[in-house]
Amino acid sequence: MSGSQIAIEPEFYPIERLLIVGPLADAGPLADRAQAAGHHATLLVPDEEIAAAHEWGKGHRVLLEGEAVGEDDFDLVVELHCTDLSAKAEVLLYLEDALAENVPILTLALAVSAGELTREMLIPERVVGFSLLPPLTDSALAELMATPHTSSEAVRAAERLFESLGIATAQVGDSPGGVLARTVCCLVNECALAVQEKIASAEDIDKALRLAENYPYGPLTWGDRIGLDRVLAVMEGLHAEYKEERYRPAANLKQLVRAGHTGMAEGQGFFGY
Amino acid sequence: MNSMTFDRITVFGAGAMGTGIAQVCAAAGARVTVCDVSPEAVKRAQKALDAEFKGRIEFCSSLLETTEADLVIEAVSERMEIKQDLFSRLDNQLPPTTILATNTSTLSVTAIAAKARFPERVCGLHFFNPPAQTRLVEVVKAKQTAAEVLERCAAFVRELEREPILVRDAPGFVVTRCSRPFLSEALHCLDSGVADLRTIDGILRKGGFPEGPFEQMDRTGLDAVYATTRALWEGFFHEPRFRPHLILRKLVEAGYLGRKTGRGFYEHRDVG
Repeated sequence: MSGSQIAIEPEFYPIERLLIVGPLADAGPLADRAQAAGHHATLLVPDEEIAAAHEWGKGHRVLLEGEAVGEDDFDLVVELHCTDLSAKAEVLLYLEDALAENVPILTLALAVSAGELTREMLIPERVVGFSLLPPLTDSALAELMATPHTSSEAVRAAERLFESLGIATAQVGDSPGGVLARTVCCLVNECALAVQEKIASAEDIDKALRLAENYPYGPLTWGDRIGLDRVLAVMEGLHAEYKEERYRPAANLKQLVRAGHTGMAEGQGFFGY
Repeated sequence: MNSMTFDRITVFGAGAMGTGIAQVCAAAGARVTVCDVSPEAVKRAQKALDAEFKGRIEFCSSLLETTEADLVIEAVSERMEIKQDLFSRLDNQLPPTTILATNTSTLSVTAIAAKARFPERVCGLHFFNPPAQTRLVEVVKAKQTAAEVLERCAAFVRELEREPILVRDAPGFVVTRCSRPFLSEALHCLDSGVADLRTIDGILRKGGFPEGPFEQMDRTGLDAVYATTRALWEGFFHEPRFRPHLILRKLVEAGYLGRKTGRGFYEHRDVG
């Protein structure tokens, strides 16, 4: 697309070649969805063995970490690290270095704000934070978060990407987890505290909120679907951002995560699967 | 139906909750009496219930008339002294086998029971508004409540074709307390500029919730939401998670109470 003699409206820039970065369990399904929508998705993976061993690593183009990237190889990057914030910071710096300056980077801002993530970056203009409630590909809506640096072109690119995937967008202020993930994770945390205080059984708490409030899932089941490690990461992110007592994670939530009982994907969370 | 756990039920308090609870009990086949010290309230309840249950529900406006009942459910105003006084008086005129249940949503069932002569027969039966449309009832175990009382109440709730959950007596029980973040985080998002009212409501509806938090508060009534939040906060010794929000208080002070006044978080031109 470069080399054109006339100024091209950003609307007409193609968003075809996507680089999807992050844990394969998230990156894989998103790559599937992107392929189905007509994009060319490539997964960034640490090494070939890991990619081959993982069901989601098969059947997609892969780029190995550290491998040279052509400046013009990708139109847009989606970065999905959530719980491992040091991996997130590291990969963002790598991407900044490897890609052409004008390639927008969409970064999942569930556990940390986009502004915090781009503090060390040289070109924060191209970075847009976004929040999707995991499991990511179940989401009907992406919340987009611009930092004071973010360019309107980058926001527009993010809108176009999600639109092409059939995911609506809403712009919200930069904050960990936006509106939906923040609300749901705080509900999970409150229910975890109620379980801990033996107010009622986990089953009854979920049943109560489904029947009395018509929530789509009982919050504890919802937490197990999201992944309790992510729920904890969102709570810790909110706690770090606002320094408010209200976001203090429940001790039993931390204990489950430490034990590896992070929910449905692992077969055990608040409930067994 | 004559094989119900409780055959004769007296509902105290003929307001919206009391009337709704009476309706649910009568629909399941129980013999129901509705009692309120205000004859006007009794008249209103009778008018509302007669269409469906003419002759099947009795009405009274004197406490003294209640001398026989298997279960008493009180839904009088949400004030500790009134509820304590009611139960301690009923204690003297009802057989010791009658179960005394309170429909309180924010007060301590343990404190209400403490003034009764037989506190082990006191428990909470927390119906939700509107009772006819809500399938859940919280069965609340006060510190003193006997296990058998809870079992019988749970069985009774099932006979009403409702789902009982067993809850320990703590402020807000399960539903009021555990659903709080849905409302309070919305206020915090609004306050810290994360998004405006409509955006927040829209995002949460899209996320699977049946209505947005501001829509819900406007429907419930901001005075009721504010009173509940305050009670919860005070009940938990001013735990910061439950602290009421200033935005809510200002709207209540202004008399913008939601749909019922035509204005709350939103303007409701269709009403008021």
